[in-house]
Amino acid sequence: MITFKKYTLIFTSMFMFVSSPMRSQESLYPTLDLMDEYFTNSSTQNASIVQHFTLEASIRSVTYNEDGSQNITTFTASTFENELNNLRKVYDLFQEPVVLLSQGYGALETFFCSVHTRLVDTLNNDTINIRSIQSFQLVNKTGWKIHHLTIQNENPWSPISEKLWPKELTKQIEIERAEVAESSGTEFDTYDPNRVYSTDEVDEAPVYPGRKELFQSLLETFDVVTTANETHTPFTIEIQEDGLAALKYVNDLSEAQIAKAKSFVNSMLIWYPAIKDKASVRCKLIMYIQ
Amino acid sequence: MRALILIALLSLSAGSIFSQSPNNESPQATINAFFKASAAADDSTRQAIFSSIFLNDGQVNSVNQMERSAPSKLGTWETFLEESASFYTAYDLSFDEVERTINYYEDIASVRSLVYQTVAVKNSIVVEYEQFLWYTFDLIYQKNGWYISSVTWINAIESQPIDDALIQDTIWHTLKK
Repeated sequence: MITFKKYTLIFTSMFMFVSSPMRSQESLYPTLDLMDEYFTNSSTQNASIVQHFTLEASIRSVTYNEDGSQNITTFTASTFENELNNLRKVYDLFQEPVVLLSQGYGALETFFCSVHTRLVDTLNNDTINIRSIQSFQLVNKTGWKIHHLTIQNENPWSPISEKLWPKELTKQIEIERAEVAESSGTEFDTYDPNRVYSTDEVDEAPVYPGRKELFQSLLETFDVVTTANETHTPFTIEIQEDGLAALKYVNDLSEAQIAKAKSFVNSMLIWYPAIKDKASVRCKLIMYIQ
Repeated sequence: MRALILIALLSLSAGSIFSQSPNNESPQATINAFFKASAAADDSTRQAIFSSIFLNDGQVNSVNQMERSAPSKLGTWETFLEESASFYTAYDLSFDEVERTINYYEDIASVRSLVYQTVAVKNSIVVEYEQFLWYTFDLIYQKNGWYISSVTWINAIESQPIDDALIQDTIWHTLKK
């Protein structure tokens, strides 16, 4: 089977096959055809994806709430399609695989792949680029079907590896991402009140009130430092527009560290919030706790 | 709001590959527990271990590869335990793992394993059959451990070398936009 094993290859546009008369003939790479049709249809308004899944298929997405708590949502093919349709009401949805790691035998095939998803707001053309890792199990049951799919969006603190997101292949996407970021900094744009900025995106970073020694004392009391080192674990806090601090990303911390981080945040005075475009904005700070 | 699910309230990572919990402190520990349970003669042992290493609605699927067809059984781990109980009454199973590979990112992992399975008549030394099985697992880190969301296996047949399953292809997709 799969005569191209061991070789790295580029599968250019199987999109051709979709509309080609060749499609009716037996394909050399039926599992790649299925993947291609799935991504093509998921990127096409009003196109269905249900037929690409087994009746018993599960699709699981791993997402996170703002407080860092995890949601594992399980969909059937139909409910997953509903989810895509909800997105399509607001966005033009486009997604495609970037690098696929494939293994298979007989009627069973797996793909562990990086995926680029682009959402373009139909009203104002605002663009969101998302990188994710998706794991597929395919079975050949009266034709190849997806039987299980797991989706994990990229954690910005833990970027997808170069192996799965090679520069040679993704250069164009990164340029688009940079252009979007650059355009959002023009004089015609204003701050987004719902966005949590990082300190290098704001005009003035949040400032803890009082003398420096006061903040230093607070840090020492809770074994917190503001620069990375080998003995401390990172977490984030958010300084909101009104200066109140909130504990955010804590998923690398132990239970004891989380409890200590909560006490640390609860002990804080009200900060001077970050400033952007002459307005106070939400801003995240990365700290490290022992 | 539901649309936000896919937009990415991005992954504030939970899963350390080295997290704590008896049967599923790591993907490797979860897979070890799976094979331990699969070889257990006692129904209650299989039930206890499976319930600790599978998501509630985790899948157990098997593909019976034959020369001209490959019928499959797709279902949940609970269905599998029910339907395989009579088989375990008649036979003793053992699994010798030959090779295991893993791809993972944050809270998801994909594990492939090549296993040599021996099926012997219960309480005897008569081997009914032996075969290679190739397993593929999808796991998710949740709360304090790694849980199997889906496992599918397929048997080797003579006309196709099982080595095919062990070779990972890397495929670069030509990006359209």
